[in-house]
Amino acid sequence: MTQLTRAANGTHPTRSFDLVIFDCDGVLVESEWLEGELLTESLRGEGIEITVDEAVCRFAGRQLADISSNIARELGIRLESEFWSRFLGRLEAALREKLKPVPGVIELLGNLELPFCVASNSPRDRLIVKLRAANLLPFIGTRFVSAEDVVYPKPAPHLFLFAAELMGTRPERCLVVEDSFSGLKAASAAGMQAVKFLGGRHCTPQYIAKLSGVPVFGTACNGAELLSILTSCNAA
Amino acid sequence: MQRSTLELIVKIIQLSDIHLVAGDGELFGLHPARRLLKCLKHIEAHHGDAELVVFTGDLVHDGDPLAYLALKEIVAHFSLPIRLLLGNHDHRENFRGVFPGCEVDENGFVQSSFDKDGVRCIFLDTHVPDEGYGLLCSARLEWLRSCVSAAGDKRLLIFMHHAPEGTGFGVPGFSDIAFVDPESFWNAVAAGHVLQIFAGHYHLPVNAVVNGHPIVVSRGTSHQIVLDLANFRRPEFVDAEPTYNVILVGGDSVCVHEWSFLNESTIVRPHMPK
Repeated sequence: MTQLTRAANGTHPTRSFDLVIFDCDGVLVESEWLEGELLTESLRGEGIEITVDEAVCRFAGRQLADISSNIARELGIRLESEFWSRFLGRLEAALREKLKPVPGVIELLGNLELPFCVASNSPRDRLIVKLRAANLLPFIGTRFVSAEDVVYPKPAPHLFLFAAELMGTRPERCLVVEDSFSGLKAASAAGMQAVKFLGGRHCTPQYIAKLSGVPVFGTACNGAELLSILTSCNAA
Repeated sequence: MQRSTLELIVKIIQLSDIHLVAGDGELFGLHPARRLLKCLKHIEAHHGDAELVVFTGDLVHDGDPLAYLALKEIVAHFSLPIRLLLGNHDHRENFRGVFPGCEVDENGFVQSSFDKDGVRCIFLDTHVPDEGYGLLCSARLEWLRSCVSAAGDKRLLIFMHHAPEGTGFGVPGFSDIAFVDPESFWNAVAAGHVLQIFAGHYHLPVNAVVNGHPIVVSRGTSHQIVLDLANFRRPEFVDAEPTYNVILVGGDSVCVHEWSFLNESTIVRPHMPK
């Protein structure tokens, strides 16, 4: 079952996997863009002008503490903890009210034959809010793990390894779907192949350029392409 | 394969008898707020996909508005949708003052319903001010009758603090504070397809069949009562294992798992990789 063969179109090798592990933010839900919009607005209130494109390009896939230290380092502005608690309050409300699934994801999860689960750098409570708001829980059930469930979040391999262990699958039999550099790094560190998924709204040309050069099993630009990769890799 | 019938199932969590006191206060040497926090964290860790988390009454110990504020603070950080019901230890006006957005019926009783995939959950308010017993007055019964009738052929799950049973299930101290006039309740739901009833109040796990219908009583998250069937009036409270119920409903079937959250058991055989 582990033999490598060429796919019919010759673009990616075909092999079987036993589990697909999805990242959440920017892969299943449009939270990267929503968070980028909110962060842009909030930073404007502090006199920092940055576009949404720049915000997602810099900060997508990062945890808030990381974003905060990045702003301090690169812009020389240290934001108070009150700024972040106000931002988090607005983010929670926006996630509950406005969060949408990435186009094509509902069809993807509804048609995927392979077992799947979700591994996200989000805190668990916010991950639940996101999956619920985007109406994805009926597909995912309790098969999700959060940054709180492991000691080291992505780009460390722990989260993906923990997801594989929970699902009873060996790491080399897992295929990760990621949209961020840190997530792809985590997959590689976990000994897992990854598909780069660029179907989220935050995947602007600048954002995509940042991910170039990372070796991956395949690249999908929308839900249909992703379903085709995930289906064909197990057709052999 | 993961796409099992489980995905057609509605999952609801029941927890009960929180008995919060203001701040981080103790009650009988226990900490209701800390227990509730652990319980909610446990639910988030294991049942993030539940449709709803229902608290079947006795939210606070003595109706104190400050205790309701403490509850509000705790549930504000909880990621699942909740429905709060009242018990005999609650205070309707104080509760509604702190939770002005709570769902109420046209008469201001804390009664509501929730529909999902052919299932209707009905939430009842059996609270009677300054009394330990529970009842549904004619206004509440009338609301229940029309809620049942509007449900059509939906399967009904009914949540209420006092189970619709008049003897107190033999639990010490409860014969005088059981549900008054259960017949009127059964008449009001007679036209519906009742699958199961979920209650609290007894601080003990009870599984019963009453009037042909199964009733599950959650032992709750606070103190418990010693099951001494020879002792009628002097209940003893103990620090026994608190639990919540995981309710799975599919078609005409209901499954209730009672799960302890306070002390994780030692794993004696880990699940092995395939």
